[in-house]
Amino acid sequence: MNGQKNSIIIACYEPDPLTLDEVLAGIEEEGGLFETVLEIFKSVEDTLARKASKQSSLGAGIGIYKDQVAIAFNTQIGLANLKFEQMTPRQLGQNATRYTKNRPFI
Amino acid sequence: MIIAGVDIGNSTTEVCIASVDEHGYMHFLSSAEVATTGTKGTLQNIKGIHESLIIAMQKEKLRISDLNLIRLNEAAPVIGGTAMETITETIITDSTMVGHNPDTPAGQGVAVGRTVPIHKLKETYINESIIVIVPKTMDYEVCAKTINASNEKIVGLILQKDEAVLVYNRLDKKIPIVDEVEGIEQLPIGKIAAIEVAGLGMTIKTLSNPYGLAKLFDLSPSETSAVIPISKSLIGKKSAVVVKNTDGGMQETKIKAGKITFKSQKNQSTTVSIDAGAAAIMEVVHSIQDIKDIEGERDSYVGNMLYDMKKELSELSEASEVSVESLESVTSEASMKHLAISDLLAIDTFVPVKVKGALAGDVAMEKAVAIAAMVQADKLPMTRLAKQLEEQLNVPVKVAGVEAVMAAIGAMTTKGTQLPLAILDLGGGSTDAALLDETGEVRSVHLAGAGSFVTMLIDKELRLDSVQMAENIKRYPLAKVNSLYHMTMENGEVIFFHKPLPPKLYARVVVVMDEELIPIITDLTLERIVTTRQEIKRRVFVTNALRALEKVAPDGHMRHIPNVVILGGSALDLEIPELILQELANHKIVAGRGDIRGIMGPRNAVATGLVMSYLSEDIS
Repeated sequence: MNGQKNSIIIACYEPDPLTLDEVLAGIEEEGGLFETVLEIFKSVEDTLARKASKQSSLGAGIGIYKDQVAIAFNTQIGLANLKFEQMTPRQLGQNATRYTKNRPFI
Repeated sequence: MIIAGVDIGNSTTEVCIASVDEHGYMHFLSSAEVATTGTKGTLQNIKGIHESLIIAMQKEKLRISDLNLIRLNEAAPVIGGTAMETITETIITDSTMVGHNPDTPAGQGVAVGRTVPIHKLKETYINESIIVIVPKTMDYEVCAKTINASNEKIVGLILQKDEAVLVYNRLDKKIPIVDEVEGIEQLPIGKIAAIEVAGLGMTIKTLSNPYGLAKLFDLSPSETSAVIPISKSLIGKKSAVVVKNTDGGMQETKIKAGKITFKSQKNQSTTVSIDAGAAAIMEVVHSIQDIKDIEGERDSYVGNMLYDMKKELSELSEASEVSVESLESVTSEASMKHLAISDLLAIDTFVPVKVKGALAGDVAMEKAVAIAAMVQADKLPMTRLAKQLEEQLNVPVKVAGVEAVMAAIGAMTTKGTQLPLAILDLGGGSTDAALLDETGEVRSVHLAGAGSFVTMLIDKELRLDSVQMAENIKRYPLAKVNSLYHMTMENGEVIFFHKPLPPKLYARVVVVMDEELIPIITDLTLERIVTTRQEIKRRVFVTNALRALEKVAPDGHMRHIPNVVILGGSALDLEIPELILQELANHKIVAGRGDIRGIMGPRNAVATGLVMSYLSEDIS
């Protein structure tokens, strides 16, 4: 599933494997494509998400730092770090995909 | 001399202030409007009147003590009420059907087999197709492994969690999967079941077809006719499950709806059952020209509504004669006798209702009749209110003029009008019409069904479960949020934002209030909501405009009315006046939104009329 053009980019620094799996499951359930990038420099999830969203052709990026997950969307108009309260990594993965499909978030 | 006209309406209290100079010329000074406090005609109104007078007087840097006279309107003693009677109901007995629209089912096609829970899969040795039921406690990885390892002939899966795609991607053999079935424990085990998942961009075809079900379950012609409610309620779904159950199934029952009895002035009575539909009811309303009273059968929604309305108004008019403490005992059935329901408007509709006993929140469209009614008393206790107001403000207060007459006088300040002039006052509780002719004679009529009826219909037809939301949809334009930074309005205009919109708005249909965007949580498209909204407004207001004008027109011929001025709160609506204009244009009548004194728009007609009528009174 890696290396495709319409991918959501997931930038990780020392990701917790379970958290990453759950994010990936969320994307898969919603029918999205993804690409994971391991960062060598330490950064927090928000920074990772912003960086990832700029690399994604769909403008959807996910940042994972240990077990913390953040989403950012990069549009032609501007970049948005969205805060979702109390969401599981699975739901965040689903929402990142729903964004690319122009469907309401859960 | 400074005088104030005060109009207490069902929802707003409006004030107009004018001064009369020594030559007898009148100068309009200011006006104001606030929400009516309490029910129209009660002493609670005083708070609102006081507030609106302060606002209006402050605009001219005056105080209430500067007022020489307050003129109150003789408010029309009518109260409107609305109710809806659902006349069909779908009940699932023995939990045999699931029809829903999960966001992401997986696979596609139809499968028939015996239902087996996944933890019993290893112990099962049956030589036939099986459909496996997976509870939410099982993870998708484990589920897929178990299915792949099984030697049984598994043809379909029913999941409780939202994991259809995850399981599907890990299966060696691809089968249709239905997910998000909340009440999965209630599915019968060991029975023959059929599942169907629709293809890309389509809805299910086999289970929503009675003959499709007949083929799958080998049904006889009589059994086939019994599955019609099942098929009907599955139309338009993306996935479905049906379990064959010999001793049960699904029923579409007719609810025993109440009856309505109309009494004419000659004491002839006609009874119609509500399940006969709106057309039959309205035919009766039309055929009886002089309705004396309308009664509903007790313990039906409509019967209760009619009773409650009479009770409410009787409490009001009683209150003028007795003290508040003894109110309860006085409001007896006997005192309600002199109150009469004078008009009724019925509309056929389809409302989505949750299916009783459904496992996944299934919704079925049910037939319903919505009814608005109006009760009329002899008089509201306005003199009591006037007296109290006079004491509190220390300004002379006079109850002057009938509401309809005052509205007509006020409406004449709209440019381009001439006598005879008809007004249509589209309020919250009732649609009122009056005709003022060259001789100064006024004929008026109050009809049931107006703004609050529209709100109720929007609420029910779109299944919003929120009157506030329905009210917003009625009043404000809608938009679809396309991205985090822009949205498309219902007229096609695109609006951009500098800051990202909140996530809860993304990809949703929103109500665009002045500064605020409110998301509508629904699967319905923007177009569908707009069409429903317009259709409801047309059915209520256009129907009522025609009914009302026919009643006040000279000789009952509408074409004898040259112009109609549309007034009232609903005249401010974005489309109601246009809908009425389009219809009245067919009858060659000039109709349009009023513009009181050229500055007030459709508001303040009665208050303006009250002030103006002072001049004629003063001379006489």
